[in-house]
This record gives sequence, structure tokens and C-alpha cells, in this order.
Amino acid sequence: MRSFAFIVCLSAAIWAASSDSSRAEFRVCNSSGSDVRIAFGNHDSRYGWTSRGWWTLADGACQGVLYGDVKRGNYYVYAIDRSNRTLAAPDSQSGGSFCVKDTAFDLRSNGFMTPQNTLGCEAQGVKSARFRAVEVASTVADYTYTLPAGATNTPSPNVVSTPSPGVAATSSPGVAAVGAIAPIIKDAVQNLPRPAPPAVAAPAPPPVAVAQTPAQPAPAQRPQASGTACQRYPNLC
Amino acid sequence: MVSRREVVLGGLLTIGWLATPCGCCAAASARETRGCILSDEDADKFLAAESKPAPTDHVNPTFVSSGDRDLDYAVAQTLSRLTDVWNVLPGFAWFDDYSGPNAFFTPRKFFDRADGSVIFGRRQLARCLKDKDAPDAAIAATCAHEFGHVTQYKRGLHRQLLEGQPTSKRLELHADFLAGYFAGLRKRERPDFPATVFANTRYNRGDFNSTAKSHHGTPDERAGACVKGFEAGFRDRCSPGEALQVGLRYVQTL
Repeated sequence: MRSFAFIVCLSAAIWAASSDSSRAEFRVCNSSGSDVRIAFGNHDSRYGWTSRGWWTLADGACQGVLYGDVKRGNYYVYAIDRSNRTLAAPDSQSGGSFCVKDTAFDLRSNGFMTPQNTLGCEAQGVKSARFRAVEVASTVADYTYTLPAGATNTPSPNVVSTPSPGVAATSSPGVAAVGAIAPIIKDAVQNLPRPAPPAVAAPAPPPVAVAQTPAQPAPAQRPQASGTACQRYPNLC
Repeated sequence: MVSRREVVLGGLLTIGWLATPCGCCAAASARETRGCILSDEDADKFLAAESKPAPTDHVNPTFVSSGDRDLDYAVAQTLSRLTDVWNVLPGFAWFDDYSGPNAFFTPRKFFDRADGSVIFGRRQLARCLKDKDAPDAAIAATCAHEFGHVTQYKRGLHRQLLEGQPTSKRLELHADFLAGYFAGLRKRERPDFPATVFANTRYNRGDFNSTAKSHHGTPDERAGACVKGFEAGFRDRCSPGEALQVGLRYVQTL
């Protein structure tokens, strides 16, 4: 009888361990070729849009950033490597801006909304960053987003920091490893790159989330005669 | 390739301004929100519901860009012309019209603009871009219709147009009239302006749900209102103020 109980307990332990290792999660894997720090944004049914960071991923490492079934929708990933190059969001992507902090953070976007219904991070003393959207087409138990080789290819200007050696996949944002990289992140975030200028002369539209006053005219690189239209509808220019 | 309907509508636009005597510039004498006008609260609810299944923007269900800068820029030019004509300056944004192509006006001041906001769905945009002849004109036609609503609202005409009406048909046809008027003005400026597309888009947005509150008018009624507006702008050279009143009288006869 005692041996039977032992077997039952052992089986339960094995089952628990195996189920834990395969629990549902959104996982980010790093195949970028360099160590990166990542932040993650998603829509939380209780708190609305939230952003969290930082996790440090060595090249080849993976990290779960959200646990539970991955529901259909958009998720957002931000990555920065030791050369302060970031995972750029494509120009065609709308939105994706989140508030971030130099140190460990877990922020709810709802707390940073301006009267114009835009995201005003700077007004509350934090930074903003444009995350890359990851679309999950249908609800799945596990989803892995892999940072491809050379993913971080938008260098920040004035980068002087030298990150500490990659600390492989810390278990959650806001633990010891974050403290070690905080100065690096500070430098990086202060020098967040803007989207690369387009081939045409049109200035990039202001990021919706960080525009404090959407009605402000964009820098006029268009012909002078059409300035009026761009002043009237700056978000389209 | 021009379809039979386009030939018919093109003919209407041509024949209309050639045949009918001017009745515009001589002393133009001349009704809550429905149709594709959404109240502040309804706009918020609608946009929130639309973006839920697959949000693509977490800050606001509206987008400042279509994703195509050149297209955005071209749209800004058209909106600016509409602003000049109607003396209105609403905010403008794209949104994810998840449940189907749509565009609407709301007095909600998304962009801190006193004249409310015009919200244009991306699926609606995609539908316009499929117009094989003049996708730009199809987009302009939709914008012109929504700016018609902006103008109605700013001038209080929406109450007059809806008063005692079981549907929003008059309101919508009046906006179609104003869109046609804008096409007429553009045609005068640019002889090759594809004004027919305006009538065609209105025709395609017609419906037969004549008892529904949101009834916008049948295809023929919508295209007809657009043609009348075109006449007022192109042939009769009405001022915007006159066109508003002529349009009002026209829809009240329907």
C-alpha cells in the first residue's frame, strides 16, 4: 500500500513537472545573432493594454512572456541589442507604441492617455517606444515569436553603452538582471530611433501614440503649395 | 471596360447638366442623428466593438495613417478642398472596420476639432481602391459624402432633414447631393475629373431596406441625388450655400 502511494505521488510529480514545462505561453526566441533585451505588450482583459520589461535573452535563448492560452489578436514585441539597435516596426504598421521605463516596468497604457486620446508617456515622466506587432491569427496554446537573424537593425545614434553580458532568460521582468541592464536601457531608450526615412520626400506620419497634439503640422518636406492641406490634416502628411 | 451601369450613370451626369434649365442661383429658398452619423457615445462603442476581435492599435481604435503615405497625402489634398468648399474642419482618421466596409461622421472630437471627426474604414478604403477606373475618385466620393454630413451637422441641417422622417434617407441623400456638388466643382476645375465615379459609388451604396431607420435610399435615388448635386455645381454654378438649400429642397420632394 505504501509503495502504491509512492508510485501515485511520483506519477503526480512527474505529471506536474511535465505539464509545467509545456504550459501554454507566448514565447519569444532570440535568433538575432546577438544578446537582446525585450519588452512585451499585450491587451489584458482586466487592465487594457499593458507593457512589461525587461527580459534579457542570450542569442539562441527563449523566454515566456505571457502565460496561458494565446488568444487571437495582436501582441507587441520590442527588442534592443547590445549595440542599442532595436527591432524596428515596419512603416506600414499602425500603432504599437507603449510606454517604457528605463528600469523594470509593468505599465498600463490607460494611465497615460491624453485628453486627445493619444498616449502621452513623456508627460508622465516615462518614455515611449514603438513595438513590433505580432499577429496571432487564431487562439493557440503556445505561440513562439522568433527574432530573426539581423532583426535588430535600426541603430540608435549616439550609442555609447556596453551592455553587460547577456543574462539568459530571466524568469520575469523586474528581477535582478534588469538592474544590471538598467543603465544600458536608459541610454538606449533616450536615443530611441525613429522609423527610417522613407524613400519619398514625405515625412513619416507622427506616431499616433506619442503625438501630444495631433493637430500640429508635420515638418513640411512637401511642396510649399500643398502646405495648407498638411496643416489642416497633419496626420495624413 | 465600362459597364452598362456606368454608361447609364455617365449619361445621367452628362445629360443632366446639358438638358435641365438652371434653377439654382435664383433665390434659393429653402431635421437626432442616424444613418452614417454616429453620436459621441455610439462612435466610441462602435469603434471599441470594431477593434476588439483583432486590435491593430492599442491606443485608439482610430489610426492616423492608412499605411500608405502617398495615399494619405492625396487624401489630405481632397479633404482640404472639401474644407475650402464647406468651411468645415473635422478630424480625419482611418479605423479597422472589422465587421464590414464603412465610413462615418461623428461629432466626437477625436482630434480636438470643433467640427467632429470623419472616420474611414480600411476595408472601405480597400473597396474604393478596387475601383478599376478611378480609385482616387471613389475615395474622394466617400470623403465628400461624409463631409456633407459634417456640413449638415455644423449648420444644424441634420435636424431639419430628419424631422418627422422614419428613416435617415433624406439625410443621406442630401449628403449624396453635396458629394455630387463637390464633383461638379472639381469637374469645372478639371475637365477630365471622373465625376461619374461619384454617382457610381453612391449607386453601389444604395439599399432597399426602406423601412429600416438606417435606410440610405435606393441605388437609383442615391445616384440621382448625386447627379442633381453635380448639376448644381457644374452646370448651375451654385455657391456652396445655395447648393445646401437646393439639395434640401430636392430631398424634401422625394
